[in-house]
Amino acid sequence: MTGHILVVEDDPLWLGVVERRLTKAGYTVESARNGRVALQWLADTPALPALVLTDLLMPEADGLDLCAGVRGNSHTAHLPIIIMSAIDGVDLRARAAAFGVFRYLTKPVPAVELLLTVDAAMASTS
Amino acid sequence: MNELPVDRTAVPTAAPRILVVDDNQDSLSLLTALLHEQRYRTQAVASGAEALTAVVAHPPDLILLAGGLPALDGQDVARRIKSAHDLPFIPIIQVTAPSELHETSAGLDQGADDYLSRPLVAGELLARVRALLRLKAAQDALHSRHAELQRLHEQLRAGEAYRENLVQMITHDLRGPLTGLLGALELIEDGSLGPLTAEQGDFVRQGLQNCQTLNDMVADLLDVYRLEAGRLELARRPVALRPLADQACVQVGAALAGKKLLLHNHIPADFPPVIGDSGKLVRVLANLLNNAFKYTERGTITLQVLVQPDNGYSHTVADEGQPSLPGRQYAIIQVQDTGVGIPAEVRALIFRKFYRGEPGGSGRRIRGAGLGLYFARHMIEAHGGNIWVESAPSGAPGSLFCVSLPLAAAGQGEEA
Repeated sequence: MTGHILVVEDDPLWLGVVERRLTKAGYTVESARNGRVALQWLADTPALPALVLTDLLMPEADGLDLCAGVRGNSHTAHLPIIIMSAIDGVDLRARAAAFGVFRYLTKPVPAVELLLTVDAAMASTS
Repeated sequence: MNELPVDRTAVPTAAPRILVVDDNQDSLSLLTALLHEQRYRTQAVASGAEALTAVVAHPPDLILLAGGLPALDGQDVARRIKSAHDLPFIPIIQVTAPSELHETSAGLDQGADDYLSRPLVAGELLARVRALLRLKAAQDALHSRHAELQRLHEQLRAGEAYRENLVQMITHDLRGPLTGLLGALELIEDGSLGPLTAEQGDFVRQGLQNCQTLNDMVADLLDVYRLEAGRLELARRPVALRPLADQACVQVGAALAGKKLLLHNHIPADFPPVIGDSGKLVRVLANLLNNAFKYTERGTITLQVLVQPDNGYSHTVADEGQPSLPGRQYAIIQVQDTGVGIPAEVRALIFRKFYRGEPGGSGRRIRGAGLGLYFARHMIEAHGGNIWVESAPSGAPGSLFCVSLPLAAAGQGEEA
């Protein structure tokens, strides 16, 4: 598969792993270390990504802030979002679902699950 | 929540304050003088309206509704005071003329706590005042006890919310770095970063398995918390035991390194499915296997299973465990080791939180927080089964850990 993916993650090791996995699978990756940086990049970029893959708990602006920002802007509102979070719970899932996220993945995310979910999200947009 | 008036809580030993209501100046003076003699503090007003204002401004300990107010007006005052929810309990004595006596039963229903009819007898009046002030003191004590309980209850709730946050933060802070570590090791192990020598592969795989064990411990911690808080949700489905046990064996494989131990899984591939949450059950089995490894230096660890019409409830400690359901069949999964064994007197203790045995009493430290068996017990009980330990059969060294799980009913095949 091909396509441009925005990965938002504050842990550099996991970010590196995800970048490597996605690149190897044929995608191109833009990375941001928190929700604020991601929203700034989305506002500035001339070419939107096809998918947003984000952590939840991050400094400055977290994953739900990012979801709100993406959905609140008519240019980005259509983008599929995948959440990868170390914390899980009915209320968090409900809040994510309210933003219409494509999938809520719980860390640690095995490589197979990561790639299958990303492929499915990309297929859903084309 | 009613607030106690500051003056009375701050000076609990002050003399009781009595509000006297009477539009006859002579009668009012007489009554207040009589009460002063008994060292009561008094406030005198001449009408029902003034009485209501005075009560709101400074709630007294008792109200004496005396002359000048027709019985029905007195009842109105009493009813208004009694129905004001922001006021503390204030006993009311209503004084009536003999002709109004027929009104008293209606008045008692409305709110006055006691009645006296004229002419007033000082001894009787004072006796009634004392009785009602005792009632008032008891009510106030009850009220402040209630307020105290309410405060404690709120503190506990706040503590619970804090604990929830703490568990979430611990989970996040441990899982975050583990996620990167697992991902990076997986990337190396599957050759994505280039080919590995056999030795490199072995080390990376062991590292991966240890990370997996750590991750499982975090999951156990979270589940134990959820179990204790009554908020665990199980995904119950028919589960085949053989693949479940295989998965657990693979997960704990790294712990076997360096020990002369053989691990045998004798669970038949066609054994009928049990009902449970497969992810949780794999961790229960992995915990039991890890436990067996910890206390066994050499020999064999054997996994086997049998069917029984009860869930081993009789093996559990009094007031613990889950009784069998009638008409159910149970799988009894057994993990037998050839280790140091468990003395009969501590068998009930090992499933407690943070209990940790010392192998052979040698004082050697055993790794782990002692949460594994506690987790196993609560998880199995949540599944309607039990966990217990016996001596290895026929005089063999070691222990036999048994776990019971309900079998899926006939026709409830495993889902794809």
